[in-house]
Amino acid sequence: MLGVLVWKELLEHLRSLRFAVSFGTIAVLFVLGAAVWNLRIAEERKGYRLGVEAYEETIRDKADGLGKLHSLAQHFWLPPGGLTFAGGGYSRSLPNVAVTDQSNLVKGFEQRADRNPLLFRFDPDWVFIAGMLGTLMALLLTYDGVAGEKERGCLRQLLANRVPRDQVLIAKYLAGLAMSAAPILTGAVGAIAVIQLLGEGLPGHGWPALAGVVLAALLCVSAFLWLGLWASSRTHNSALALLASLVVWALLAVFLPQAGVLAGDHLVEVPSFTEARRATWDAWGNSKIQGHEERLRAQQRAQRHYWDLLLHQVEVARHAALVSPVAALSLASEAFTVTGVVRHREFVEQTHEHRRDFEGFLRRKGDEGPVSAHRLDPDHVKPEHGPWYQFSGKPVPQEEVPRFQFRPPSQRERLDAALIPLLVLVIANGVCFLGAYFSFRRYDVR
Amino acid sequence: MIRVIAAKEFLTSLLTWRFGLAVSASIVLLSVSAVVLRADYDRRLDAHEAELARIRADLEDINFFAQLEETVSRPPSPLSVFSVGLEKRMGTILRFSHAKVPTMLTWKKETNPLVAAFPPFDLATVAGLLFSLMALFFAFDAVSGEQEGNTLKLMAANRVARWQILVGKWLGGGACSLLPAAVGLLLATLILAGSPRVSLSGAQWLRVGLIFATVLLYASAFYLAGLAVSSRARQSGTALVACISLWAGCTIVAPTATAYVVGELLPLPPERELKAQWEEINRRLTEEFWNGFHEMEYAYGRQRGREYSLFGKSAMYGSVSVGGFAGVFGLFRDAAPMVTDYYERFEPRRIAAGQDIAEMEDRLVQARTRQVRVSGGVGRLFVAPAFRNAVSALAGTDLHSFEEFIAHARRHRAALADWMREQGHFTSVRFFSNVDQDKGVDTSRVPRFPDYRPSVATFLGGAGADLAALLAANGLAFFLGLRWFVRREVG
Repeated sequence: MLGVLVWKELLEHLRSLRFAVSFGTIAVLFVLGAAVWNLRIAEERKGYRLGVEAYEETIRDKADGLGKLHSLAQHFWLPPGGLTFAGGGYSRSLPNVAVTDQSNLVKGFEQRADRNPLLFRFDPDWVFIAGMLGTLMALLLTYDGVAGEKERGCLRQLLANRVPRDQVLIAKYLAGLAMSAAPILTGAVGAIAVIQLLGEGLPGHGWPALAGVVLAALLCVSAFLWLGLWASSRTHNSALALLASLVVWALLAVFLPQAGVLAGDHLVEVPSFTEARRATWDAWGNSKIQGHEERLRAQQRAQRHYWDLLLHQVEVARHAALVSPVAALSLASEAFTVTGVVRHREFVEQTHEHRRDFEGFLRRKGDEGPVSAHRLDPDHVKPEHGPWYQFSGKPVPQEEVPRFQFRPPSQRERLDAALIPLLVLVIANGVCFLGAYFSFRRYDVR
Repeated sequence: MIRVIAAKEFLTSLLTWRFGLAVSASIVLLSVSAVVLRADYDRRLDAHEAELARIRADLEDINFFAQLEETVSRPPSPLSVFSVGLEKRMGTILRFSHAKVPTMLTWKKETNPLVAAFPPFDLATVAGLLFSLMALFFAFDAVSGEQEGNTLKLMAANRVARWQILVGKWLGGGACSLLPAAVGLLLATLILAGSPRVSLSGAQWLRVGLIFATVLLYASAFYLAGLAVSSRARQSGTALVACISLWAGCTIVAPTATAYVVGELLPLPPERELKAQWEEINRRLTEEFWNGFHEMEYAYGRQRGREYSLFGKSAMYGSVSVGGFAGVFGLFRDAAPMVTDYYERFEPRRIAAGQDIAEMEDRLVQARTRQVRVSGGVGRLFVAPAFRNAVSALAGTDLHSFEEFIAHARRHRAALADWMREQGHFTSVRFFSNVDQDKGVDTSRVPRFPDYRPSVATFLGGAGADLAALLAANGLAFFLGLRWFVRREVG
């Protein structure tokens, strides 16, 4: 009986205007988004290559003397994400260059490569299309699943047969899921084909990540299918069900994810940029801290604290919105594709790590030479080194100088990061399912 | 007759479940948003006040005129609660001096720059989605629903013109669909105005009124569009699906696609080109500065009858950027005429170079603003972007407002440079040294940054094109609705 019911629902959807409109819009946007992304990513990669070349050139220039390397201000470039067409996570508005100063302190994270901060835009990635349009489609497919059938008088006839109510509900859900999944899967396949055929192709680790994004998208759409059925089972008027579910949609897809960013400001206090800069200077000038190296460490700690607070504030803001399945889809996708704040967190961590490695390298090289004192470690100056500010002019083999290279996290780490958002999506499905199930069980079909 | 139809439509819509749901949703969502946004505004105001205190303290630390740097904190607009626009993305701090011309690239953010990467949240976002949706829900069955209920035939059987029916429906149904919007907005405005930290002036209240009118114009455009769809569709179910598609297209798909496509198709000049130009100007200026400096140094040496290193590079405070000899000057007082003569020649060059840099930055800004204007222009076709831009312009948070502020700051910079020249500061020892002075520069006579108070006409000017687009959308939707309704078979 379930098969018959599913088949009937499928045929109804297939013949409907809403399915045709939604399918066309979603599938076409997937493919168009991938085609435009192909053009853009080429430019971004070029900008990245030029940035890295400049970075290499700086190291080559300074490698002819250890002293020069000591006072090297560096720019570390974050490569553009290869999967931003699936889940960009506003990566284009986040910094992609880390700048260290002559004291090897992280001076700032900046946004480069010809980006326009005046033009705010949502990139039409998979998350946007599935999260905004896929969920709308889910509501359009289910809003009249119960109330509409009652209005037409078919629900009473249907339930006059020996059909359990839960089977009717599940059939409606399964048919809706198949219809909602169809444009997402078709669009995803089309988008991948465009990227494989016209672009540089997907990176090796891309396939499982994309599978993860599609899974999260389907879970999100599924939650909204249940939501539509729930609204439909609570009313006897299909238009009312649609209006109510659209208001809830606006709340979950727009209001909560965007208002969540303001919640971060409330929950995490961040000093202003000037205050943070003063704290760094104060750390250097703190008379209680003895020794050059200790003061430098105190400065590094003060700066690190500021960068961590900025990240923490934005992470709290994004997690505050996790009650929304659309926000959960966004976070899960960012974890799978390593984009957005997840990528920025990795970038910040690896920048600090590289800064430490670089310092260690200078120290090791310095210890090798007879006249090797350097200002990073004046406390270790031996008498034969002469004054501490006497930098070594000894050349360093440039290939030995450690370079910054961004390493994306492993698949396991990505899955771990995506677990909580995925769990939220499962819970949202469960809550909406229970709401729909109990409402439909008590639904008066007369 | 129009009045009768309008009254009937108004009462019919008033007694429906949609009205109850619309009023509840509008009140709850807008008042919660207003509370959250008011708290956000308070925080931004705190940051602005802290910045003002810092600016005052920094002003007291100035030792000589070359250090005089104007720091301006643009106060957050209380109307940014309606539309935050560029306020969080651009930053609020401007730093410039007589030799540094402010541009749109000069804005600095004191707050977390990562937060600005995410979509802004304001009342225009909520209202834009909610009120358009409500208007369509009130209109989708205004014609097709009446036909399904067989009342349209009865109405048309009377001596009443079709346009009168349509106008009556628009006035009655439209008024009823606007009521929840008006109630929600009023409540949100009261929450905002109730804050002890918000004191709206008469001009600001006028702008709030204009924002209300914009919201009503926007909702009316969607109501008329729903009426047109209802006049075209045979069944109200079809009209409903078409209305939702129209809504999703206008409020979600089109604004996103427009900004995205414009951003991709209109290229920006590569940043590296800008950097290379900036480095070239700076290189020339630095060269000129040092050549002049060495000339002066040798001249001083000759005067003393020997090769004499006057100050040494370590004494050059920031060289090109500040140009002060400050502390060590006390050792070389007899060089004063030479140094003042040097600055008299060099400062005009530095001011000219500052203008060259500003022109170069303006070229990049023009390319960026072109993207915004083209995106806004194309977006007007889809109503929702026109609404957002109009509210942002009236709230004083759009691109035009920021450009006007920069123009204001530039006028002040020019006045500051003129004042310094007229007062002879460039040719005075006080320009580069505080020797012989007990305290720093007396800044009380320095021209203050004048308050920026644009007139309501300035804001209206920024919103003009978008308001015209909203009016045109109303006209077009009414025309289509009338055309389809006149041709409709009501039997």
